[in-house]
This record gives sequence, structure tokens and C-alpha cells, in this order.
Amino acid sequence: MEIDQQKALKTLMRAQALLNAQDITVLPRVAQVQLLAAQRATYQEIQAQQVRKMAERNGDYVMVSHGLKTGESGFRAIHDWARSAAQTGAAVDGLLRGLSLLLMLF
Amino acid sequence: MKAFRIRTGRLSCLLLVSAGVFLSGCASGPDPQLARDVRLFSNNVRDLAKIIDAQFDLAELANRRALQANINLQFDLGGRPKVVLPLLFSSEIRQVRRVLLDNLRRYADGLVSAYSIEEQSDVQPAPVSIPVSLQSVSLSAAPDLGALAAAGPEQAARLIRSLNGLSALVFYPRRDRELAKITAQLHPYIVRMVALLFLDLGEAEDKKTSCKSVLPAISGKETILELRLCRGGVRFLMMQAIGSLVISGNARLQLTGSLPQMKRSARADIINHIYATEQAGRLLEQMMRETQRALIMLVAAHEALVNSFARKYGFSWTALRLMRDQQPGGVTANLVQQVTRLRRQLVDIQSYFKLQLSEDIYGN
Repeated sequence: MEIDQQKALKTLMRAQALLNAQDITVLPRVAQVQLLAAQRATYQEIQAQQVRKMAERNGDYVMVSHGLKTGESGFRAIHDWARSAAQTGAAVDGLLRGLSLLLMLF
Repeated sequence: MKAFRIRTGRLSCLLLVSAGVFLSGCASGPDPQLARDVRLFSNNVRDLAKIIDAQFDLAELANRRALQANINLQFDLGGRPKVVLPLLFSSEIRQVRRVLLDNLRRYADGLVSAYSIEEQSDVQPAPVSIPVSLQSVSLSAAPDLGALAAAGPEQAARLIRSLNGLSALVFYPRRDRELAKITAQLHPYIVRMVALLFLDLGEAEDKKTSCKSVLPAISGKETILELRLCRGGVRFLMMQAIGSLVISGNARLQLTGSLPQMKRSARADIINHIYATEQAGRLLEQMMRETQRALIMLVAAHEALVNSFARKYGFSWTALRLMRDQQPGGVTANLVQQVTRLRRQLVDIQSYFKLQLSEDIYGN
């Protein structure tokens, strides 16, 4: 699959190079427009193919995002300990405020 | 017997506390250097996330202009092209990357909030006192008293001013060990995230003969810098967009004489625009390569944080050796320097891009 994509990209880029090498000034007006249309189509196909490859990694991004969220339980524990420390007379208000706000976002 | 000894040890420490001797012995507050590194890490994570997101925006802009330049020229030549300007990136592609960067930012903010130094107490020191009774601190809640002998007098004094006594002895060690655990547990995700973003930024040209741009397994043997990528990702997309703009610009230049609606004086403008477009592409390519370096530095800075927490708070962990020949110090400073440079570059490049790739160029 991966190799097929690489082959497709190579073919597309060869086509692109041929189109770009064409001297537009020697062509009749209709062919000039056709050349530009072909250049646009090739360009868009190359871009779309590359973006598809990036989209294939969306699942990995979701997985890693989820992994980074696992820190939440640890921060929550620290928050709870800070709260009980505060109840026994300690001044951890700043830390408590910061963590409370943050945990609302997780 | 052993339990009895531990219990006795804790009791004697508490007795020392009650006598006020613990000022020089039983507790340790946040380490100022580590707290500073945590804050710098968090600030730079935020900046780097913005820089990466902005690069996707610039690639989107360049793609749009490339399509517009081609379509405009087709119209000028009498063609009737379809005017469809689809977005380069789907909203899902952008969204999953933004969510990841948001989660990273939240994690970094969490470290800052949890490992904060109570600054206000330095301004107005409270009298040294022990406001809680010994009974309110259960022994089971104070498992770390014996390990708190490392605090210097200054640290101990700050601790007393900020947390007012005994609860600090319970709270700080538990917090510090928990942070050591969180940072170590999340490090593999940071590495994986950096590898993903590194691949996303990609390569403008193939770097090896047999190309597979799949994400490599993190075996610990290779380094991220050794990833030899195939062309692809945002750097390649950007190079294609700039290439397409230049092709359209050159075609327009060659056709100047034959296009009735084009004045000969426009020739100089087109040449300038082609040059400026190429220049914009070069600048952005350079910036994206530097962003990839910053990502590597981000892993190094996080690894240094994990090491510091683990060393200070007795948490054992094994680093993924993705970073080879790491300097023990200075990794956070390297990240700060690199991200600061990138932040400045981004402002320049954004304004250059918006100016040079503005709507009225290459047509109309």
C-alpha cells in the first residue's frame, strides 16, 4: 500500500515535470488553457495524495492525545492532597486554585 | 520488628518537628531550578504549539494562492475553468492535531500548577509556627518523613512560611513523587507525539532510496534525528504550492505580450512577485526544518525534567534512548532559545507571506 503510494507519487511527479517543461508560448490559445488545467489537476492530485497520508495518522494522534490525558488522575490526586493539607492549616491556595482550574479543562 | 523501627523513626521525626528542629532537617519544598525549568517547558510548549498550527495555516494559504493563480491565468487566456478552491486540510486533520497540542499544553500547565512555589509567602513571611496538632497528622499519611533530611535551611524556611508546618511534610513528598511518576509515565507519549509532528512536517525531498514514511516503532535503538523521511508532509505540500505559484507566474510572464489585458509595465511586478514567492518558500522551509529541531529539543527538555524529578524524589525510570549524546544541562535553555527564534521568525514570515501572496498577485 505504502509502496503503491510512492509509485503513484513518482508517476504524478513525472507527469508534473513534463507539463511544467512545456513551453506555453508555442501552443495555440486553447492548448494553453488545457495545459494550465492539466497542471492544476496534477498539482491537486499530488497534494490530495500527501494529505491522505497525513490523515492516515489521525488515529495515532487520537491515541497519543488520550495517553497525555492520563496525567489527569495524578494531578487530581495532588489536588486532593493539597485540599486536605489546606484543611489542616496549610496555605496552598495558589496551588489549589491553579489545579482546580486546570482539572476543569481535562 | 522492622515495622516497629519504621514507626519509631517516624515518631521521633514528628517529635523533632514538634520541637521546631525540622527547620533544618525534615522537609523539602520545590526546587527553584526545577520549578523554573517546568515553567519554561510549559511556556515553550504553548509557543511551539502555536507555531506548528500557524505553519499549517500558511500551507493552506499558499495552496489557495497556487490554485487562484492558475485559475486566474486560465480566465485571462479565455478559458472557463471551474472555480473550486477546496481546503488542503480537512477539519478533522486540523482538529486531531489541535486536540493533541491542547492536551500537551494542559499537561505542561498541570506541572506548573502542581509544582509551584508559593511566591506570596516570600513577600510577607509568616511567623514560624506549627498550627496543627500532632494528632491531626496520621502516621500512615506521612510515609516520607524519614526521607526528608535533604532540605537546606533556606528551603526549610521557605517551606515553613508557605505551608505552615506539618501538613507540608505530608504533602510535598507525596506531590513530588506523584509528579515524578506522572512525568515518567507520560514521557513515551511525548516521544510519540514528537515523532508524529516530525512526520507531519515531513521532508521536501526524499532522503533515502527506498521510501517508507510509516511511523517507526520506538525500539530505543534509533534516534528521532535518524528518521530518514520520504518527501511528504507540510514541507512537501508547501514546496509544491510555491512551485505551482512560480510556474503560473512564469507562464504569465512569458505571455505578457500576447495577453491584451496585460500592460507591459506589469512585467517588472511579475518578476518581483516570482522572486518574493520563492523567497517566502525558502524562509518557510527553513523555519519548518528548525521547528523539527525544536521538537527534538522538546523531547530532550522533557526527558531532563523526568530525570530531575526521578533523581530528586527517588523514582526509578528508564529513559527511552531516543536522544543520543544528550548534554546533561542546558536542554531547557536550548529549547527556549530555539522557540524564541522561531517565534520571531513566524511574525516576519506571516507578514511576508500575507504581503507577497496577497490576493491581487498573479492575476486580475
